[in-house]
Amino acid sequence: MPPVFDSEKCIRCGMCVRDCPAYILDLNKKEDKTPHVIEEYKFECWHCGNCRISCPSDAISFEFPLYTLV
Amino acid sequence: MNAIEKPWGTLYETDLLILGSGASGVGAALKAAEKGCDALVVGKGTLESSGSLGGGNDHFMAVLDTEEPHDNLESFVDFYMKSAYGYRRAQLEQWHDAFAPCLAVLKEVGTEFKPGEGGRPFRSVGFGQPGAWWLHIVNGRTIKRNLAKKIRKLPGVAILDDINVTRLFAANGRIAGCMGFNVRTGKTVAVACRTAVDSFGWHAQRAGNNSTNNPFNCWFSPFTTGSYFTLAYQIGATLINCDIAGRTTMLPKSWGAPGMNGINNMGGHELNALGDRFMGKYDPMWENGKRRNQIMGTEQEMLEGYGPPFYMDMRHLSKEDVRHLQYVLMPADKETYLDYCAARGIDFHARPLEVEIGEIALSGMLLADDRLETTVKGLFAGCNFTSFSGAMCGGYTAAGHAADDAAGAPLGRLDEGEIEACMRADMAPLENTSPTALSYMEFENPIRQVMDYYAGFRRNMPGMRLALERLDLIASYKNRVKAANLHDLMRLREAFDLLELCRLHLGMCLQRKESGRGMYKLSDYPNLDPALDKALAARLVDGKPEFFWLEQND
Repeated sequence: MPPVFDSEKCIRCGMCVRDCPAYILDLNKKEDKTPHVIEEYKFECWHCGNCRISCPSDAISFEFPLYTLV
Repeated sequence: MNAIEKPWGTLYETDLLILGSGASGVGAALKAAEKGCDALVVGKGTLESSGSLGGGNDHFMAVLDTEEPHDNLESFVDFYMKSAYGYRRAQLEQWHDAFAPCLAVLKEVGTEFKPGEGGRPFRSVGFGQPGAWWLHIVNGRTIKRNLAKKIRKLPGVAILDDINVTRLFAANGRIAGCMGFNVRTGKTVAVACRTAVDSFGWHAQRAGNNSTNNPFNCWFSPFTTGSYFTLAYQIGATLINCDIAGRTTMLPKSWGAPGMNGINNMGGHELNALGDRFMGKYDPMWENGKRRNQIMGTEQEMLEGYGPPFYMDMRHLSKEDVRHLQYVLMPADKETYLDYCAARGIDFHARPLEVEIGEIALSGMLLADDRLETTVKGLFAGCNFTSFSGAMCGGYTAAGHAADDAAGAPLGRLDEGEIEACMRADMAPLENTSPTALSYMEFENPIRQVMDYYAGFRRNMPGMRLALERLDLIASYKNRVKAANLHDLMRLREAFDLLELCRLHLGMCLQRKESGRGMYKLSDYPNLDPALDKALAARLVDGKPEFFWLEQND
């Protein structure tokens, strides 16, 4: 369910982090600044898609977790 | 607006304080600017994505006063006066009057509506309503973005994003301001105001679970947990309908998403496990009757063993209608809808959509007069009307009165000593290093454990009394919680709001000794009591809730 980031396409603008209403995204500050879902909060994703709407480089897709598929 | 730096944080001064930046806050900001009023919007999240509208929307309800059946003020007022409690005719007239200006703004920012015949927009009939009032939004995913662009440029309107409001302040029965903390920085903010609009959001989520047991996987925004009610209640506002206004919807199986209004009002049929269409047993309008009846009907089928599974079947609809539902309306309501469909192989045209009964969401209203002013002077109710239309028009209407009154109202005087004391209390969980301290989920999960077990669709008075005792026990742990960071602290505040609203809900349900008006059935009071055809109210007296009944138009 949480977003998956394509590091090739991502331009590291941080807009997805700014607009996530759940505050569950962050940038890999010590590495390449690609956004990531904070592991301990990934279940709080409402799959609203705001991160993807904000993304200017089409770098975000969604992978639905098993519990939404059963 | 003035911003004054203080040792404890920042003090803002504004004429009109708008509490919340969702659809209602947007409507309020628009009206404040129209009135030339100095206004400050304070909300959690960012204006571009906050609230349930941040996830998109596919419908806007609007009476357009054409010659079409029931497309007029009288039918609109009549429907809401008969189907809900606590509305006043003047309030509904103002909701109606706000349709046109709010629609004009939506069109101005690029919102596209499905066209109908004769140059008019297409509209369909919503749950149980007499007329076709629901406009279909074609590009609903980006509504909030487009509105935010306009709001950020409004003269006299400032926006404070990322603020979790923890308290409202009142003095002598009059709103004085609010305080909270920045979710990203931890900095304390307080706002002194002349008047305020409560736009925190009508639908409180996370009170219960659906089949996935993830409370964040729910119908509307999971970050709205009842502060619309609880913060106002704590400073003296009277609440109504918190017993019977709770709602549930059918969800796509295992996925929290809106959209069922669209499927039902386009003619979808609900089927049980045997493939039988059954809703005629529970509502004369079948699936497009009252939403409550669909839930209670599906629940009854389940108790009798005719499901799960349940399905919404759209195969009999025209190819164009099915395409419109799956590829236009649903993704407009939730941006990731087609990702969900792809993951589960869903095709509305080829096979029925499996659905489930969703979690119970709590709601109610702030008791308000003809001008939407609550029982706290200067505090106006921005979220008493339903749906996107009700939120935007409600905020818009409330802010009109709040702006008018701000001109002659005193600026609230906040006690800085009190602010500092509250700040220390708000931040205390960050300092709690006790090995037995509870994380936010360790505190919040037991709330749902109690509500799901004792306060589901079938319940009874002894069970609810026990549930209230259990919630009181959870409340006694409020000083034993910890937060590892500001994110956890924000969730704890949401959990506190949720707990208080659940307690008020149960307290009010215990007064209403009947079944048939709320989203539940009491085994010990299974019938409708005509004498209880009225609203139930709650207010805080000496630290405890006091309940009383209102006659219509009180």
